Amino acid sequence: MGHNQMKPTLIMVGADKGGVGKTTVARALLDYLASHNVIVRAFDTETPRGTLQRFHPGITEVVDINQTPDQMRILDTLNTSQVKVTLIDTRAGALASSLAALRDVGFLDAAKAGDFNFVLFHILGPSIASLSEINETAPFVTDAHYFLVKNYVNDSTFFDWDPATLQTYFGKVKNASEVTIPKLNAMAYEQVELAGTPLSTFVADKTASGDPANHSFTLRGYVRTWQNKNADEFNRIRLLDLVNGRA
Amino acid sequence: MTARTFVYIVCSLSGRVGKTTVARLLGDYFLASRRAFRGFDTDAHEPDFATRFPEEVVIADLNTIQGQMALIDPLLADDGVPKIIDLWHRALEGFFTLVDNTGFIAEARARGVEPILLYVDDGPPRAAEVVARIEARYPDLQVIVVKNEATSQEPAAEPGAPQTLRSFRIGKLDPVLCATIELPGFSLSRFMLAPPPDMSIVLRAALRDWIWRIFSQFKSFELRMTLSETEHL
Repeated sequence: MGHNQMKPTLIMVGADKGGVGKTTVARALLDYLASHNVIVRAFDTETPRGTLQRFHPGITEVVDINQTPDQMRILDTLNTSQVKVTLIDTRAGALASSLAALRDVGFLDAAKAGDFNFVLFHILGPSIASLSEINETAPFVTDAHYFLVKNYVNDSTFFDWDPATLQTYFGKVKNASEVTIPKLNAMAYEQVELAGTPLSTFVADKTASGDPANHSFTLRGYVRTWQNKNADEFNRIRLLDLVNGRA
Repeated sequence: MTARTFVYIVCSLSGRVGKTTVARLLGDYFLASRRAFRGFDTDAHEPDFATRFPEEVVIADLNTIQGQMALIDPLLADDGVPKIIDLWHRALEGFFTLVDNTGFIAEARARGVEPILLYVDDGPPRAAEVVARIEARYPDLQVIVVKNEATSQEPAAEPGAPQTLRSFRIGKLDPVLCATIELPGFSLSRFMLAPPPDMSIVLRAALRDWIWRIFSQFKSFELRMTLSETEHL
């Protein structure tokens, strides 16, 4: 299949709770895709001021997914845009309502019919409560590539998942797979937040404008190793095949 | 051709085998040849190396991210100033985890910095096993075994024992001299540059000989490294 006929892909990153490092996962995804020459446009639903937009200003627009004009900006252009991969970083707590919005405008049906690839990364928080979010999300995602993300990035005392409980919830969703985002050293995490650039720019020791940034090598090294581990995970789930329609 | 900057990592899996002595000898070797060095002491509780060289050596507690940054970041400067790490045996595993987690060795190479591991022999069969493990984990890292006879109770090696390219030998030292060099404030480099006139000439000659044998091994190591990077040879 040539690039011209590539099926458009919508990647949604969401969580029903804030503070679970959702934007960090979105950043890791954008960096991974960019490093594999996949051009992505991103939408940030953290209105009015986007978090993701701060790190990837060139490719990110801030939208309100519950407003019709913004829905049109995202969905109507999936097919016409030169960029075939679209990532949406959904606002904290708005995953279920965003999915409902996608259903209501007929996107989920179109995905079911094979017009689009739909990939959902559902970031789980460090508590048992987040497992019940899967119940709310499950009805929407029968035709999505659904990934439950255990995000350890900024929490050393992560809830210790009880395999039996987890299995119960996993059983509710057909096609759900697990993705693990490993812990990143706390100070490295903080610096990479403060830097306000893509992760790869931080690792390359550059500022957003391309000047030398003078970040600590130790911290950059931690971020690079963490990125490599993420890449292993994304390779494992064959994310590139998914966005290229080969899966 | 540009000369590489060497980072000497003095380590051992065991305590009390003379790591700080080796780090100290190296530091004094540079000072005695009127060159600067930068040192790092990873034992935050008893920083003997840092105490010996308050000007040159900083304490880096690898249990903290600040300590990790205080160690790793300066090591990557290709400034021609040799670096010496006195790696506390309890910090050994943490150090290699840090090296792996930051991709230190590849980054060092890319910047013209050459890490060299000095493993202080802590006796058979342990030393050989540990060195083999380190070599398997870091195939292109230079590992040199340091045989320290200065404080050991075993008889000294045969004078004609073969000196391999990949080992340093620190000879046996008379107990009186052992006590002398252990005195706080006794500097081996100052001793070499200006021997104290009030010291017995017998002791002076013996200590000078002991130090000279060690320094000449460091010197020939440096010469070998310089030769190996000379392109026209």
